[in-house]
Amino acid sequence: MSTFAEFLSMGGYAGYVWPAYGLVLLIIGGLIIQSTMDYRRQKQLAARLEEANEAAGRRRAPAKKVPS
Amino acid sequence: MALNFHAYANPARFMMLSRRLVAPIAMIAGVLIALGVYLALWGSPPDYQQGDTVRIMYIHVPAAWLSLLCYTVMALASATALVFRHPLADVCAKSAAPIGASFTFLALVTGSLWGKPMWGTWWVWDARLTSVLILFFLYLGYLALWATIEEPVRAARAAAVLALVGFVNVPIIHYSVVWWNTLHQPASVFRIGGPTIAPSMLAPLLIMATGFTVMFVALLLLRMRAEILRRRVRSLRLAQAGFAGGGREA
Repeated sequence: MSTFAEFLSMGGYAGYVWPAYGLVLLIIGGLIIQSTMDYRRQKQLAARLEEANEAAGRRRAPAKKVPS
Repeated sequence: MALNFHAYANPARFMMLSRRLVAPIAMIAGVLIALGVYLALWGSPPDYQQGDTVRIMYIHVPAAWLSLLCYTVMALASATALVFRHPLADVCAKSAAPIGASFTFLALVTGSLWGKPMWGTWWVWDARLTSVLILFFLYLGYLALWATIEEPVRAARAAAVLALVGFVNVPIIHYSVVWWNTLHQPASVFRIGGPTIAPSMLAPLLIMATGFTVMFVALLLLRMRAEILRRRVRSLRLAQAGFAGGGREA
């Protein structure tokens, strides 16, 4: 237990070492979560829009031959 | 090489090739970083002068390297976008920027947390610190350009020009500790004559740096995939708006 407490105290520099590691965890972790969530959202949106477009395309199929 | 270059130019092809890459690359990064953290916090000795604060080095130095690597990737991609109109280059540059900004922020703050106990100050207008702060502002400016210019083609061009102009700062950062040798220590790994750092400290540092780099690759691929999808969503929406408008006119 005392060695663990020693480890936590970081030779008296706990107030500098732990915030540094904590911040890296927070920022990199945040970046991973944000990137993953954005990717999933865009993937979902693209799939939904593609489906809607296909459905619209099927309905519009005869009219498609008219040049716009 | 030239052939490969164009083979990967197609976003659809990129999406297909990168699909199964992100997760395994992220896993390798996770293992390396976990091992690096273990060695940095438990498996390496305290410094004979700096005590346990030296453990901040194992995250500070890789973060600082990555801040420069990200910017170099961003500048190279920007040059490719401007010169060759490579369809993935914009996507790559835009996706690298938030990652680079994050690493630069971490380099600055962990440096500050290391500086306070060792130099006796959180901040000093030393050439190295100042040039890295400018790097952080370059990233923010780059992101602000993308965020404020509505039209994607114009935004891409303006951002690419800023990234290229700002690249002049990268060698300045690298040589700042030599040209204006004030408080920040000079390089002890990438120097002529080899590293001057003890092997028991070099190992965790290199493992951590490799872990950060592999994590950067995974994040870059993931963000590029999201960006390509975002563009697809945008064009699908425009197409639908066009259909709806045409319908009303008919």
